[in-house]
Amino acid sequence: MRSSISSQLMAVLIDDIRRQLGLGAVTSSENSPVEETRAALDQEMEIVRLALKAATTHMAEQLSRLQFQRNQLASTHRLPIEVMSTIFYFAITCEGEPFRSLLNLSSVCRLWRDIALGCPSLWADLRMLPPALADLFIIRSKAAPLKVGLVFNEDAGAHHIRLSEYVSPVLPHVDRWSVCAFDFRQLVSVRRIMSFLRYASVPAPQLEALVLKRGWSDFIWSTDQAQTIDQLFGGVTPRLRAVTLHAIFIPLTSSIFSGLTRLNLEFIEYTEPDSIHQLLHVFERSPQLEYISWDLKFSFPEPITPESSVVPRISLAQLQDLDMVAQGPLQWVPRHILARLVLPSSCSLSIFGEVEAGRDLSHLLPQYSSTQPNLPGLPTTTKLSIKLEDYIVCRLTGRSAEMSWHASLYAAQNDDLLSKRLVSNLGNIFPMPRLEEVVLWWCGVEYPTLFSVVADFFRRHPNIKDLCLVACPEDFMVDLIVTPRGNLYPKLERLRICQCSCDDSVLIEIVKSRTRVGPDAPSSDAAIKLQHLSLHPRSSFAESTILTLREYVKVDVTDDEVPDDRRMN
Amino acid sequence: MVNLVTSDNESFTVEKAVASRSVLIKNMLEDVGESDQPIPLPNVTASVLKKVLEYCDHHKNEPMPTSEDLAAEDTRKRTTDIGEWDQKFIQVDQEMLFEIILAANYLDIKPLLDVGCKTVANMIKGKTPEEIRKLFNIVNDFTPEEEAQIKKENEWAEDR
Repeated sequence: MRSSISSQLMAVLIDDIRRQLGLGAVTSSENSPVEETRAALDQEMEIVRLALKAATTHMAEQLSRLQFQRNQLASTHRLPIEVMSTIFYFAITCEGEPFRSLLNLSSVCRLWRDIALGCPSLWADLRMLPPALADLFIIRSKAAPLKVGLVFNEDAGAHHIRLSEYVSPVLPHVDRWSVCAFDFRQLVSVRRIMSFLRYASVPAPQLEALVLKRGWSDFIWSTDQAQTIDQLFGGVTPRLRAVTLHAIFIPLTSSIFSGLTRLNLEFIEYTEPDSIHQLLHVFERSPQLEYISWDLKFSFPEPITPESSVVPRISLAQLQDLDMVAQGPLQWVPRHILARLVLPSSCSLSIFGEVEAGRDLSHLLPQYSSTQPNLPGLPTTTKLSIKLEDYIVCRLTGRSAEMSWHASLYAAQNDDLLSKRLVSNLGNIFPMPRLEEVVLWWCGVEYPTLFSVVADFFRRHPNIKDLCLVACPEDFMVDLIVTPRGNLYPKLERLRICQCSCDDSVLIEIVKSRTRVGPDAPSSDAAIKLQHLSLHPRSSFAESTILTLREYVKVDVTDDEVPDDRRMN
Repeated sequence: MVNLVTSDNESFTVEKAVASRSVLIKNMLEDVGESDQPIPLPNVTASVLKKVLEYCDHHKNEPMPTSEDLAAEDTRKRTTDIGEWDQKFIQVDQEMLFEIILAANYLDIKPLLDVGCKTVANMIKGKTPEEIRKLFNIVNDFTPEEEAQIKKENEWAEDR
């Protein structure tokens, strides 16, 4: 029965196609009967082929329609289009190759494809896009601002994208670029990079972020190697807010260094003495800067600075992070620049660098002034970590409710007095009147003269309530005992002892002395005495010792990690 | 306190600070002023509202996102990171997940909508179209012509 209906349907379809083609029965001609039969059969075969194609197309459409209807029942199809496009945006944002995720999303079903095609901004991320897809993405992105970028690495073998092939379809659209991020992983020649930068010589009115990197971290681009490119993007980048240059030199006088909120300059060497003024001028032209980071070489001595009172200061009221690297003879750079800046008290500061023999924080930081503080956050420090890593490395981390500062310094030469000088600086270079919590890491340094400077530091900061000692020697622990000669930490309420080599009897003596009431009490205020003791690790002290200590204070014993100097508890 | 009535006619009495995490309810309260009148929520069932209110209660003391925050979000790179509490909160079956997203969209609770969208995005990430179809019970409804175009695009993606 079914077969009969199918045959009838096919016969109707074949007739229909024959009518459409205007064909009747094959009539006789002058050809031989064999030829005529062959022609007739050919015509019939063509008609059947066309009928088959029509039937297949019709059925495929029918099937597609039914599948589409079935998909309406899926949970995702109940979500509004704008919600689905938000999901798509999140799904492609954090992927290494966003284009691949987008192609996957638009290959799931018709609705998802329609949503993706209806959202031009999804197609505007051209970073790492294979050149064969460039035209398709550019068309689908309509007028949305484009993100262009490439990690150019010929070492990646067959998977690398050729720079010229990537660049040629995106260059005609510089006026639509919002992000330009090129990372030349290998040492591409200066000439090649310069020719690439010259391509980008037309205005980029929508550009918001520019990232240009070259080589690995040990590669430095000196100005000597550079030719000048003053007119990058034709000097027109009114919306540019973030610039990162790594071993790529663009003169600081370029118009790209204006109106920025983020500036990151690394591995560039400036040879002209005027460069330091040009850098300061960049800050002047970008008063809304929120983040600055530099690791630069200035191959000239410190310029003579006029008296600070006559040099106008540059106020960066929005600055939240300032990271500086000062290597070797460049210690003057942070001091020279910081002396010209006025930062908000909430600004976090980080200095990493070498310190030459005989020098200390006073050579890295500008002279503190209580009347005109340009680093007002430092005196608000309430928590401080001092990490004496070995004889020649010292890490200092300060925190307050609003900000943090970090100095990671090491001696340029074999200068085992560096830590001593830096600890002596604390509280003297800039005051820390609110300091209440200190973490001291001794890290196995056996250096007796450090004891006296550390003790002096604690004497200068009598408001410390919380002290954490990590790997401190017993000699130092003994100084914790309240004695007539040294009344350190009179307000100490909490003591944490981590990985310290201390005899049980010394620890009991420390706790007794700090909980004593009377004329030789730790504080003249009888209410202030040690209340809380934390010991780490559990195995350091005998159970009987811990029981004895609990007669005096609340004792915690823990095997948790010791506090990190960057993330103090 | 605010009285909310769901589509299945269940009443929820909640603190104003909790209900006001919903911009829709907050605007209604501001328009109506002090009133004992229950607020009908015809697009939300009781089981979903209960879950939404759990989220609102947990986040009631957090600052509401301002229009500036929302504008800035578009220019910053958005991540699919979800807070620890939110991750546990959103560990629900797929049906409930989509109901929460719909409710957050209707009630205009942007942070909850983002949590829902990020969760779905994280489910999708790294999956092939076929895996995504299986995950959400979707069938391939492309016509042969569309299928051919998709195949071509995917071939271009491999063309380096």
